[in-house]
Amino acid sequence: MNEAMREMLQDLLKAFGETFQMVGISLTLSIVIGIPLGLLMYVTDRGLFLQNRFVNVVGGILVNVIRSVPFVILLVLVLPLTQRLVGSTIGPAAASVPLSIAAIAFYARLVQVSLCEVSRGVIEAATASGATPFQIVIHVLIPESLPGLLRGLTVTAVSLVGYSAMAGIVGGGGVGDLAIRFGYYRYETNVMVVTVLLLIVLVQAVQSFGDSVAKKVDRN
Amino acid sequence: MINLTDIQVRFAGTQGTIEAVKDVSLHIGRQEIFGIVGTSGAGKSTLLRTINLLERPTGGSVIIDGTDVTGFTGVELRTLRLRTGMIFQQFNLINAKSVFGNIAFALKVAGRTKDEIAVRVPELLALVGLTDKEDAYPAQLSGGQKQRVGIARALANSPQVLLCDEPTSALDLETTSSILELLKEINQTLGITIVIITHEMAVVKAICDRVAVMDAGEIVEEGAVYDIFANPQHEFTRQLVARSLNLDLPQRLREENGGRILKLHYRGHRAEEPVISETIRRFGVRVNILHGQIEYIGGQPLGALVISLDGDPEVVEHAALYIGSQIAGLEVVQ
Ligand SMILES: Nc1ncnc2c1ncn2[C@@H]1O[C@H](COP(=O)(O)OP(=O)(O)OP(=O)(O)O)[C@@H](O)[C@H]1O
Ligand SMILES: [Mg+2]
Repeated sequence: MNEAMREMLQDLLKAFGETFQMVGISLTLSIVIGIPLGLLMYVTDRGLFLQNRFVNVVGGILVNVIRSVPFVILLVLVLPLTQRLVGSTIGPAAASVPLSIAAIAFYARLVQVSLCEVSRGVIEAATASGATPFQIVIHVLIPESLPGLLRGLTVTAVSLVGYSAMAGIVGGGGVGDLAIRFGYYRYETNVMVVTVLLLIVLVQAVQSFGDSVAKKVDRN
Repeated sequence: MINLTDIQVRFAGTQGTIEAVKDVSLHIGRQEIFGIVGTSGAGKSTLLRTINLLERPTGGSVIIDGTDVTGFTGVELRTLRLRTGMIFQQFNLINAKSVFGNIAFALKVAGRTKDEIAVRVPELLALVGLTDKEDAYPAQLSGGQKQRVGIARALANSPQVLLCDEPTSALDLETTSSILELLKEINQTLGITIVIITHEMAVVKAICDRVAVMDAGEIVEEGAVYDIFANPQHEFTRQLVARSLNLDLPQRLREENGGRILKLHYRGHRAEEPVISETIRRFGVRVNILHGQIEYIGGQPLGALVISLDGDPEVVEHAALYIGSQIAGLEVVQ
């Protein structure tokens, strides 16, 4: 009994470590690539200071295409890319490739939506002050949309926990993989229940943390 | 100072093109407070925004201090905007930044150093009377205080021109007059030319030197504020002025009053002469004041008085003739 508990604990730790790795990599890439992509789609929109129909439409279509492909299919579709980038198609690092692609597209859209909430008047006032587009992005757009950007990041993180479980099915490892292996194939329901409970706690923690940070920076 | 020649702004809309501004030419003098009035949709904001090229005119030219700036882009355009402050009806402050941060942003844009900013921001806050609010965020300020921050931000880089798009329309009466006072003070002490849009004639009366009246994209009348109020030429201007001077008598008063009812118009210096007491003394008629309003625009009186004259009909006619010869205009109401 004691031995079994220790084994389960070890499995759980490893699985959560893998999940954190997948979510961490994808979330980092969503910030690094998703924010600039969302910004690009926003500032090239009609009537904005870098209006560019081509970039705007192409960006929008790309994001929509990625978002409309079911994640399980995306997983398989990007296998060649994963092989080339990571050198393997199995393990958390490999699973991070499709996860990141999905998360970047998802977050870029949320970034764009948050930016649309920024008052046009404030942007106009900055333009009238003689600010460059870069100064407007850094000093107006990002600070003004920061609460929205953080809330979007929280939503992305929570979705990533779910998607990472799916990635586990095709050899990504992590919590999802653990739950399936024990719960589904070996009928060890207790492991599955513990895993799911831990997942709920994790998601709740991410959500509360994100909400409180967003609230803290919100000056309205 | 500012010369707009044949300015035309067209927008490509869903139902064809909208001609928001049609061939407008204006000259705004140095250190003047110039008003632009008109109803909603007249094209006032669009016209104002061509001065700092927030709206690039589709025709005509914007000349500032003898330089044609219409085609300015890049650094030239941003330098022009540094020299042109602007304030807005909705204040348009950066909510995520403190009062200090909002003003500092305008200075940062002009390439000022941290040390310079630390000196300049308190100066500006003192100028607009908000010294104690440096660390407050816009959400913690009243409308009037927000507009003061807007003014401080607009003045940060010592502009020569301040453009105001309905700066008091979101404020109550009392706050409005304190903001107008501040603008006037800025105009006088700093010598900044002010262009102000409003739909309230009261604002024009309070601070403008000259005013242009806009209707459907065109300037229908332009001149010194006193002249526009005393002698409105265009039908549209008459309506605007009439709305700010309402001297209608209740029906009951007219019916009960059997005698003559006259409306005396006061314009210019003649308002100070004691016409009524002189009439009573000379003709011995009974004078009753029914209604009236006289105000002073730029120190000159303007307004009207509605009176009834009672007495021998023949004497009343003589008295009326006498009054007519002594004042700017006489209207027989009944
Ligand atoms: N960016 C735009 N695109 C299309 N039409 C516009 C645009 N900006 C203004 N217009 C139109 O131009 C006309 C003039 O607008 P403008 O905002 O200059 O009026 P205004 O006199 O300032 O009115 P208000 O008192 O309501 O502010 C309106 O018919 C408006 O719908
Ligand atoms: Mg307007």
